[in-house]
Parts: sequence; C-alpha cells; structure tokens
Amino acid sequence: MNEFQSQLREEFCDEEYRYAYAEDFLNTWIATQIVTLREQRKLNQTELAQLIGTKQPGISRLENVNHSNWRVDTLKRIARALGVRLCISFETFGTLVMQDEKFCREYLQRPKFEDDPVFLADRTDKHHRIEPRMETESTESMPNANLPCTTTESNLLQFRSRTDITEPEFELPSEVAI
Amino acid sequence: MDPYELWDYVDAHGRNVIIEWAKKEKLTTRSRAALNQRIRRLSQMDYDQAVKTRQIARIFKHVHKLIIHADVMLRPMLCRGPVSNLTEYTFLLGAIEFGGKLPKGSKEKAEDHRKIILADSGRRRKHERIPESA
Repeated sequence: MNEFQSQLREEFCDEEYRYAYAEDFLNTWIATQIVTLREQRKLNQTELAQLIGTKQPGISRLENVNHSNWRVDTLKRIARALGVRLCISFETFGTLVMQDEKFCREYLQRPKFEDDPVFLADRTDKHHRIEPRMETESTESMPNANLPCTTTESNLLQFRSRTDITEPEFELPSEVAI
Repeated sequence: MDPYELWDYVDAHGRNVIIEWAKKEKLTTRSRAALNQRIRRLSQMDYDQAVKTRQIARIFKHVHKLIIHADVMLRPMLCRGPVSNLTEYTFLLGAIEFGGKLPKGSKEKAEDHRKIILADSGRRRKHERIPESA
C-alpha cells in the first residue's frame, strides 16, 4: 500500500469525512468521464448536446466538477450517445481507495460498443446475431464494473445472458440526487 | 506515478501557508474532504482536463484558483510550476470567495509568492494534505 492509500485509510476512519470525500469524488468522476468520453469520440459539446436533445450550456454544466444535480435520465442519454452503458451501483469504500489511486484519462476511457473487444471477434457477418463471449458466473466473482475494459482474456467483462427477462429488475426514478 | 508533483508555499518562518489558512478558517470536515479530494485529482489530471472541468481557472498572470463548492467557496490559489510548468503545481495562498469576490489583493499576493519561490526554492515544500487538526 502506498502513501496515498495509507492516508486515505486513516482519513476514512471519520465517517463524515469519508462520505464527503466520496460524494466529491463522484462529482469529479462523472464530469471528467463525460469530457474524456466525448473527446475520445471526437465530439464537441454542441455535437453531444444535439445527440441527447439539449443545448451546449447543458453539456457544459454536466462537465463541471462542481455540478451534482444530474438526472439519471440525462446520464442514460449521454451513455447512449457515447456508445456505452450507465452503471449505477453501491460500492465499498475499499474500492474508492483503489479508484482514487488509478484516476487518470486512460482509466476513464471506454471503447464504444462497436470497438468493444467482447463483441469484436464474433461480429463476422452483420446479419448474424451478436452472442456474448463469456459464460455466466456468480456475482461475487464479477469484477468492479467501474474498472476499464482491457483486451486481455482475463479482464473481459462478464455478464449474464438475460434473454428470459423483458422488464428491468428495478426502476430508478427519473430524477435522483446521487 | 502521478503526472504532477504538488508543492505548498512556506512563509518566511517556514510555515505552510495552506495548512495555516485551513486552520485559521476552521474548515469543516466536509470542506476539508472536498479540498483534499480535489487537490489529489489535480495531481492526476491533464492540465487541459482540469480547466475544461472547471477544477481550476487562471485568474491573474500566472495565478490560478482551484474551484471548490464546499460548505464555503474554497479558492486556494496556485500556479503551474513555477520551476517546471509541465510537471508540477505549487499552492501559493489560501482563499475563500464571498459574493463571487476573492479577498482584496490576494491575486497579487499569490503572484508575489510565486516570484519568491523562483528566487528561493527553499520557500516551498512538498504538498501536505489538510489534516484533521486544521
């Protein structure tokens, strides 16, 4: 464990501190990842705004680390425009210590669906149905969904084939203060 | 290794001005957490990313402010470098913005601190996280 991780471990013993830190980290993460992914797709703010049906100032607001009033609905639309999925999940503070360490542009980048290595090898003919490569496994072995995809076999995201499910398991309200 | 090294200006008595400012302002736990979090991110982000996401903004000559909406509007001032502009930031002065205004003369004072460091490299030390006692 390095110096920063040791410091965080100590600081996080204070409950108010760790929740305030985590909240601010979340704001920073979202704003920075939107900028990172937008630039990765070579879009400007106006182009992204058009894709999600809003105006450029709206994107500018979302890309501000001091902004925290995002709507889940808006984040979902951004995810779709950028060819990725939105993942909202409750996590341990232990994973925050790890994410804190790794934060950088490369860590925030994600391939869009067309470049996702999980699907690339199976896409031999555009008329064929795209099949997921990995088999289902228990959720305990599922890697943290916030970690970046890599092209190595062991790091490919695993997910469950849910062809029997037609409705979402849960619904988030349209506006959630996270 | 983080792309940016962080430094803090020390006064003529060897006191870290940022730590002293945090103590004087009696920053709440929430403000301290936000401040430490943002400063940590600054060491990891590209400069242009930090500007685009409104983490920092240039306000006067070489002086930038770190923009943190916590319990109060924290605006510690810093500069790139000043020894190596591409690989370090130095915090020069703590500040809180009231009514959208920085304390009078603070930008100029921060710029002066930068010049002092250029003349005497001993007038800064490696950045210290804001401790609980601050």
